[in-house]
Amino acid sequence: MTMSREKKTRSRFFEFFLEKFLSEKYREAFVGDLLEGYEARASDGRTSAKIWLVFQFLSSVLSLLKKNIYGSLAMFKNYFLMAFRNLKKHRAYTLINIFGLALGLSAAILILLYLQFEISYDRFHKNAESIYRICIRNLREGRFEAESHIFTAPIGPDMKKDFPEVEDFVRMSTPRTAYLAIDNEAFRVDQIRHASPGLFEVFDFKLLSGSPQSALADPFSLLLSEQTAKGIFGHEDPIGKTVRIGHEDLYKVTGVFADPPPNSSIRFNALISFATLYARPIMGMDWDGGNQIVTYIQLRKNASASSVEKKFPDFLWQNINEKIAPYGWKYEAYLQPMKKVHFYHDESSRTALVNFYTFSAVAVFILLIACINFINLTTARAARRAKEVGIRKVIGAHRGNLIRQFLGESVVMTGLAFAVGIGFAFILTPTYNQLLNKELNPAGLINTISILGLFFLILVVAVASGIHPAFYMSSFQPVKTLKGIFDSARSKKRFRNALVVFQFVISVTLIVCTFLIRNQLRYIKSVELGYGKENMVVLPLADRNLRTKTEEIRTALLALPGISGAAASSEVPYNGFTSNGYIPEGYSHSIMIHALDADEHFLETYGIDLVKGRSFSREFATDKDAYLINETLAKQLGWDDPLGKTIRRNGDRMVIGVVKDFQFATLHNTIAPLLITNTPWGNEFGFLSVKIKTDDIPGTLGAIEKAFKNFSPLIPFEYFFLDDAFDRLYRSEERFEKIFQYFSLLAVCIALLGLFSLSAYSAQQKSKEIGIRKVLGATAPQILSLFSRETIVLIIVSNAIAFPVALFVIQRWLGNFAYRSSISLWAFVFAFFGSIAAAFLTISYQSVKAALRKPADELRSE
Amino acid sequence: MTDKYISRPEEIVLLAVRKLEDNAYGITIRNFIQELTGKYWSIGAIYVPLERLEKKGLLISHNSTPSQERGGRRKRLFKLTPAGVEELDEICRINAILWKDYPKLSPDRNE
Repeated sequence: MTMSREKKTRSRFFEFFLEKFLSEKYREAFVGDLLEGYEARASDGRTSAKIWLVFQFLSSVLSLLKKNIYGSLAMFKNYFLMAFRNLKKHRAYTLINIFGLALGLSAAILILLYLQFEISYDRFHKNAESIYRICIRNLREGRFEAESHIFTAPIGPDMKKDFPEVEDFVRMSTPRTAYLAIDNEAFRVDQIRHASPGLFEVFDFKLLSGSPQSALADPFSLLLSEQTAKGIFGHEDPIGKTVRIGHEDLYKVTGVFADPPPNSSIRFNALISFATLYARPIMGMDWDGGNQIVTYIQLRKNASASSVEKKFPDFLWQNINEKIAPYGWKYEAYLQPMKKVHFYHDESSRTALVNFYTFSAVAVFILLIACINFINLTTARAARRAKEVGIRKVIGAHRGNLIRQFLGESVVMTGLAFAVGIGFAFILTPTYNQLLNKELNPAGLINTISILGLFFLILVVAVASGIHPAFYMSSFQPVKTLKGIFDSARSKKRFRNALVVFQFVISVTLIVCTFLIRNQLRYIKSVELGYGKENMVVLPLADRNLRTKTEEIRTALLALPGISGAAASSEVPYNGFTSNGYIPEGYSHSIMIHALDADEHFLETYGIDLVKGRSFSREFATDKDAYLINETLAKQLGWDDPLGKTIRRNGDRMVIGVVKDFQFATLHNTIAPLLITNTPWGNEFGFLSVKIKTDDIPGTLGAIEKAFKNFSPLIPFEYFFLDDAFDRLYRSEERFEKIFQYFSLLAVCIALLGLFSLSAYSAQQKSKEIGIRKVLGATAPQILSLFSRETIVLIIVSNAIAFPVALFVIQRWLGNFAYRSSISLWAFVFAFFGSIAAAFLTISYQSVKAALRKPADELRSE
Repeated sequence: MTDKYISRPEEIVLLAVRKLEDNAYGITIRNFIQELTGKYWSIGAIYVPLERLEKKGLLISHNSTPSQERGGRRKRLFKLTPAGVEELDEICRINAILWKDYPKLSPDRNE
């Protein structure tokens, strides 16, 4: 009988295992025995024989294994027993140690959750690897001026035509808010964007109904998100329905899409076919038409972004740079990988990126502090276990055994702390989500990578916190430890002190940063904006009725009591205005200037001063075609006397006045060039700003609503206070600040926890010294000061190191703001005294206890 | 005879080798013991006492000539050494003394 191949490999497999467990002379016979048993049973049935064989083999391995490791198994049992007894004996110490580590870990897990969410942005697109966003840099005389992802309309299609690497492209307009009206009802929808048909092919947004190929093909097609559709049509099928948007244009609903997932950087609640922009051009759709379109391109498989980028200079030269070069302007383009878009979403504020790095650092620091506690406590406790180590060594334990024992102990402790920490994290998640305004789910962390990562983390923490005690304790000389001569080695103490200093450097840095971040946010809200935002009620002019009768509404509102002024404008300041291309006198190409359309009451209502010239006036018919500019624009154009100069968009317009700079965008930016026209597009303004001056705000609002309803009974009355809207701009920063604050507090708490148990240890160690001192006449305060002196010195050193670090960090953070608060000395003063006071209070519990103990209790034992 | 007593599994295995005479090797010993005790024994578990007994010098083993069976693998045949025979005799002697009045002991337990 010859062996089949399969059998051969199987027996080889057996042999490999047996090599480990069975001495060589029996190996062959053992395999033979197995095969004989198998053959004897094979006549009854192959399957049952196979089962017998497998079972025999496994149980054999088990018994052989048991024989081989029996000795070390007993040792392990002993280690566990010792570890458990040790933990039980020092219950407080164990609790503090585990609790501290658990707290640190749960914070790290929560932060990890956030980081994981941030990283997951835009990765749900199957093609994410090959999608890029086109970004541009604007150069003037070779100097960098601005960076943006908003560029001209034709770049997408032209690239597809000229670049063989480009598979497809998607064009989108920037989001805007509008009212969607059906029959006699209107709904406010924000994040409405135009999108080209490639959207559902390049990206993985889900279309619930409608065809991905044709839904965005025809002009005046409208797609709604599931939520928006439900809000407008209820349970009716919206497909084929007609919706009116804005300027009396009728759109046909051709599709419903699933709301973009929360980790999509591209957001939209409604989509309008891009073709609509050609049917009703509200902007130039060619290379000279200005920058208003975001373009994403998808490259072919194995095409590289750099090969495309290499062709950009020629491509841009032919299409745009050649024309603007004589005036010193130039565009450079680059491809931004889709996965980076979230972190570089908006060129002016990289909050997401800053937050990401900050929180990563905070997570690492908190974990470090917790680990240091573990290391410090364990080394400090070493003296108590010195005898155990001595005895083990005398009995014959190798250093390796001891190292294994102590590392094992720290693995057990860390594992326990992890379990508790994960529990904490789950409990804290709802609160955390509320703070972050996100919906993170810790269950999302349950996947292979995170579980492996978690094990890795456990191992790292266990080794990091166990390695020092393991090697330190195992180096004890048994003779000395057993004789009781255990000097608590000065160098070890220095090491411990260094770790304490490190912990407090981190804590103090976090405290200082928390204060300064708060300062900055408070400062931002108090920055002189150059216009009055208080008591300003803004009424969106939601439909045509309102927009055509702006003047009448204004008159009606002014007649109400408690209203001191009203003005109509295309937008209201706080979040920035759109920009258009304009050609100022002496230029022959357009430059981007922010533009606001406002009526003649705007400056007065908002309290914006005029520096030169005059404001718009009804007395001059030509004012309809005149411009006001701000100081920044005048300076940028180099016009000392701008009055009478012209700027061209649709024909030359004269500058009749210069307004004092006011901040119309967020304070991340400096004040940008601005131009104010008196004529809105289509002669219709978008907002009516009403300055109220009354104590009865609800009553006044009621009166405004009533007046409003007279003009447009269908549109829901909506308003917002300008200062609220302004505050909302900084909400994400405030959230960041709040979370940062909590985590800093946590870091400080963990550090103090460590200090607390260290002081307990040293109180115990010095109990005899204290006893003798008391016998010799020392008073309790003297002992207290003796006790605290060393710690206080450590804290002062920590502060000295932390201050420059904090200064460096906070300056980097402030770099995100164009308006920076001065760095307050108070933050440092507070951190300094706060940390000293906190440390003093923490250790004083132990030191007071030690100082008040009766010396007889301490000394009688010897 | 060794200085130390041998364990119960070792004793059983030693006896089994004695009983199986010239046919004592892994699977026969295992089958014999399993039948005798009615408990599950893995072949691997047999080799543990076998190895110990051989180390103690109570057993000696040699390879058989390979045959077509067992996938061409040789058997490891075990045989008692004189010391092994002496050990069994000694166990038998001690057990005989110890167990002599066993039946008389058990009815007393009911009182």
